[in-house]
Amino acid sequence: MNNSLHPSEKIRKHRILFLFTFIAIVSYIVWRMFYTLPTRYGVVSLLCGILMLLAEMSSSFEGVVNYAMMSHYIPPELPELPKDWYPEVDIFIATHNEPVSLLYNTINGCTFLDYPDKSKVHIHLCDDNARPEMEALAREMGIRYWGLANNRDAKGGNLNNAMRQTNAPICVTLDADMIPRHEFLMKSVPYFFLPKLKKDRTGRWIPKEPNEIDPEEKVGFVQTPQGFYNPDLFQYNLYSEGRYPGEQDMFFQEINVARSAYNAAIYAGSNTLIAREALEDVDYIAVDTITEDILTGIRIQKLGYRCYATSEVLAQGQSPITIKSLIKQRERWGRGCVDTFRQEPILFSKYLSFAQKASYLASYVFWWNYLRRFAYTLSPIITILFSITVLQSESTWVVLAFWLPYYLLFNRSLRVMSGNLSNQHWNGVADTVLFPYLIGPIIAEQAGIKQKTFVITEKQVTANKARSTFAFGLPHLVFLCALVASIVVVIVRSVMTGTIHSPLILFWLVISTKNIIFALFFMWGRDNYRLASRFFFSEPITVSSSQRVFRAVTSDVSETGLAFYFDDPQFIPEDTPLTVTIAYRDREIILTGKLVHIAPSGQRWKYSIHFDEMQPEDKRYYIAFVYDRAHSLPKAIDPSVSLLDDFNFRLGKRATPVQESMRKLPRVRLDIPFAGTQGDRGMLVDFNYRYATVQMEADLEPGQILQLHIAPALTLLLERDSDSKPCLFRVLGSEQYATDEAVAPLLTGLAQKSPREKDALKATALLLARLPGRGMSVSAEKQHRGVAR
Amino acid sequence: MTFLSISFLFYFLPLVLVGYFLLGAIREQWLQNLFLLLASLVFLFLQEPLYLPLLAVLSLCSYWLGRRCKTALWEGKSTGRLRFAAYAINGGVFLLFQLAAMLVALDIPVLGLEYTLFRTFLPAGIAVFTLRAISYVADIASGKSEADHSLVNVALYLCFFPQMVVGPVAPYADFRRQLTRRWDMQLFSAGVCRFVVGLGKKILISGNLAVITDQVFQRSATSDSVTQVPASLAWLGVLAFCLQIYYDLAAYTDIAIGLSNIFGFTAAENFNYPYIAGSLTAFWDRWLISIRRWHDTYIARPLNNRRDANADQMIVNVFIAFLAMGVWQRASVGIAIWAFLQVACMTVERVVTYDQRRIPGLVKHVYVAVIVLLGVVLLRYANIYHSLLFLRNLLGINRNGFFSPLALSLLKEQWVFLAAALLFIFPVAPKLRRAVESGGRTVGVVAAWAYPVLLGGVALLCLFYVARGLYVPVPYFSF
Repeated sequence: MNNSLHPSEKIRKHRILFLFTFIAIVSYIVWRMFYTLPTRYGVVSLLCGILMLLAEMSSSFEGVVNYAMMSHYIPPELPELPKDWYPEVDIFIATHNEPVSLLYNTINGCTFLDYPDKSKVHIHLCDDNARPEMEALAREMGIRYWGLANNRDAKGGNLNNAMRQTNAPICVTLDADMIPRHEFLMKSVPYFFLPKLKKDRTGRWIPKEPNEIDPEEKVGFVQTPQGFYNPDLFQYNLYSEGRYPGEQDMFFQEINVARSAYNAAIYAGSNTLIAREALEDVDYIAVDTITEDILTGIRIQKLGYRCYATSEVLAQGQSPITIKSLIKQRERWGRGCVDTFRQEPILFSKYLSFAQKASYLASYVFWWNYLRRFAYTLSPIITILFSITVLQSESTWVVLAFWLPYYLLFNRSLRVMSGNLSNQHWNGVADTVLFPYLIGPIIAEQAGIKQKTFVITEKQVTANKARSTFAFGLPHLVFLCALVASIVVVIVRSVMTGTIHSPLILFWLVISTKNIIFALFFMWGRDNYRLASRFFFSEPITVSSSQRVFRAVTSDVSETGLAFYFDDPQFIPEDTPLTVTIAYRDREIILTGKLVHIAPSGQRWKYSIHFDEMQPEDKRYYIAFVYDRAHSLPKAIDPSVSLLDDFNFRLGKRATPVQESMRKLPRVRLDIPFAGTQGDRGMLVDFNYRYATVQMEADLEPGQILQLHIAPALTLLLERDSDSKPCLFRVLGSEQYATDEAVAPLLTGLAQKSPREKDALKATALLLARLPGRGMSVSAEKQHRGVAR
Repeated sequence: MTFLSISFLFYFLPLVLVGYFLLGAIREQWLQNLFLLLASLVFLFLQEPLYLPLLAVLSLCSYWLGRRCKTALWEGKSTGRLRFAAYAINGGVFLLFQLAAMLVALDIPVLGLEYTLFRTFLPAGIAVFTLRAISYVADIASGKSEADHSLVNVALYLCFFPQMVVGPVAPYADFRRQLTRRWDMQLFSAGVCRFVVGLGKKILISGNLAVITDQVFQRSATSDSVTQVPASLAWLGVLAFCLQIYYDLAAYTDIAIGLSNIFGFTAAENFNYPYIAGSLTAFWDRWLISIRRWHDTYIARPLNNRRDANADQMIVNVFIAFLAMGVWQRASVGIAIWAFLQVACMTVERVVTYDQRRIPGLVKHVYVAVIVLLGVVLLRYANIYHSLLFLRNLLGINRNGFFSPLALSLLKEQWVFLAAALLFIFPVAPKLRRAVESGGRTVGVVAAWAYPVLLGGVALLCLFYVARGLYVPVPYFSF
């Protein structure tokens, strides 16, 4: 939203909104603190009331801090750098147990990075399992390999091992799955020179005079967002990969960017450029924690380095694809954040500003989010079912007067300031899905109970069936029962007392029920058939068979194959070896494969091809071609996305099972009538070059041949197929169409005619007993010429 | 003076008819229109003299806004503010009266006022007047119709007395076309028949059902241990009330259409056998059609268009339209719940594609009946407490028992009317007409004689009732 506005104009609007939101939040919290604690209903009530108040206070605090940052920050422009300023860069790819194929893509992406002097880019594969196949891969790709056996310091130790033995002034850390786009370095390295550059009056970047340079001002790290090219689990399981942006986008593209305002951007471990000087000052990556990245980032900021997070996605990886791995990932992050906060003196550090402390406290408080969600879901239930008063108030109207502005403005701010990357519904669902599994670990970590083993997020894609994960939904099911029971009790009480009983509690019950239902939808899962992620974009390509050459544009592309569009239903005989030529950068990629599927798509025809084994160099370029682009998932929530459609979509998609179609010929719907004088009228219903469906008033005998003259260039010889449906006819001599370039456009033209135009076509039918031209006499020749009805 | 009073039936209507047709003899249509306007003003004046100046000012206001809209369109300026003014002025005045009526009904004093001024409820006809005034300006603002330069024409549209109770409400463009009309004998006779049918529905059916409903609903509201309403009595009451509301509104519609036809005007239909609907969506396509359509056209749709609304916002807008339609009838907390119930059900119907599902007819009708029944219980009382109390009586959870001797005796007294009412919620008349048309010549001749005789009988019976001193119940709202 407001993307078209000038940044300063946007900021002005955001500030006004923030001001109102701030006033609403403060007045609500003050009112809650002094007027609503249930002091008259016993200890249990008071305790629950205080917990609920704490939950609301923490979420309000987080909201205020985030909105304050988001409504004030204008990110710096990317400076233009003289070419010889670009320094040497070391890229470190950390791997622990990922497969070779995954690392191949990442390393491949790195080898395609743009840089003024490519010899200044050094790629390092850091493998802390010292696997021979990884060493072989590194050798094959021409990069440096750092195998580490008996690594005790996890990812930090793995990276440090390589970092300590190299010396480029900028270090890039990449996770094993994060494939950089070709402009990754060109759009991130220049930020390190912000202290040395300024804009002149014409808007050009020029070097500062020596006396203008502040020697204390140094850039510590630049964090670029972590993008994901496959739909995350929330998008995928809720059938929303075309409707909602990724669940992490909000953090990486808005919150973390805005944290730069207070120099509190979080170092998130991957897609990050770090100044070696800063690394050396903090003695490299921290190793005494499970989230080494955050801690390292904080330590760098403590030393006064300026750190930036940027919003353009420059490298993309895979998000977890099983519920279990998602929970494990979040558990690790949550524990790490809490652990960092426990270990590192943040709140009382004299090296951090008040705003930095507040920002980090907000990110710590974020992980208590799940406990909050639990409190929000549970408190209306206990109020209704166990008569435990959590909030006391004189009248509903007073509650409404304080709560409604708070609620509406809070959510409005979320939506506006997140740039429509998230909304209250989507947030609520994500929290509700995870809360039963993250409350325990967060509390345990806070209490100092550590996780025993270090768990790596599993990113290997395997085809899996849904339903097996529904057990994760059991806690939600229990909540659903309690919520429904509470709603029923409210309604019954309303009828029995003759007043509308607790309308606000009813509202919360309904909201929680909605979230729980979506969480259950999520846990229900969705069958995963597709192994490779697809990117949707159009690029011109050439497709050729031994006989013909076609021009086409791509529809979608994946590692193993691609789909392209033809304007006309071209005939490519099944199992014809095809060659696809793609121009990419300085090379023509040549790949071979076979058609696997053909389907109409609007006015065009979509052909899908599966590639054979690729030549090594072609493979390198092709993989880069596939991944070197923005993901095809939504970049923002479209205003048309609605809760009703979410429900509809879910129910609709559930009801229709996925049908795999194996059609390899373009079936063109024609509906062209023809008629003869002796009663053999009929209709050519459809045609796919091999077979045609013909409906006739009187069925023909198997083996009988029908000659249909439809247009000057199209005469079909159709033989009634034996042992199949009477309307099915085999097309004789279909191979000739494979070379005839006129037929496909002709078919398109015929298919697009209106029924009236089709009626006006003068189709001629000729019945033959035998096939002509094989030395047989055309004996029982009956020729019917007639105008179609 | 109402349509059912002696003064209307025996003095006002005959005098107006004589005057109207005498003017028709000199073939000056504008005089006839002016006469109708004067008659309408007299009609409104006789209902409540105090409010006539108010309606006159509002009429002038609409006329002026219409002219301004025309000028603005001509000059290529936005008409948004003028349209907003039409909504605000007419809606505001109406809302003020409706809220005052609510406070009176709930006995809530504001500023210590005694509201003797409002004891007569709403100004007569203001409900329909408001809808027409808004649509008149909104249509001109959106270019759907022309601003009329004749104040008489506009005022006649706004105050046309036959259609002042429940409409039907048609856009001004439709009405304007009929301002120049020809004498049509067939339309006149159809109008007379329709008028008599309307009288019959109101006096014979609705009036007699009211005997049941008023007793039951009043009892429930004031119930103590002595005058409790057992479940069977509550069910009888609510059934009778569902029928009564329908016959009441349908009767006023028939009377409106009949009188309009008599004066040479045509009018849209308001009902299409709503109780045979199998879904709530279908029900609302058949109940108070012109009123519902108005709220759709002038409330829900403009809100949807204001910014491209997504499905959620559309539902909220439909809810607002239903709320407005509810408030059009009565302002109360129950109305808000009623509107919510209707929109919730219609939304669920859409989500589960109710229409396309194979559900036994009986289940569908029971479902619609339950929602309608809940709705009328909410509409009946100004106080939500009484509605919920009645609901408890219905469910038998008010320590009220099941059997009721009163229910039995009411049933014995009124069973004829109840049976007739039940019969005519089905499309009996169209079926009979078809049977007559497809029957032989003899059937046709018999029908041609029997129909006027039957209607004559109904008319006589009605006049007898009226002359005897009629009990005119107010079902749940007063216009």
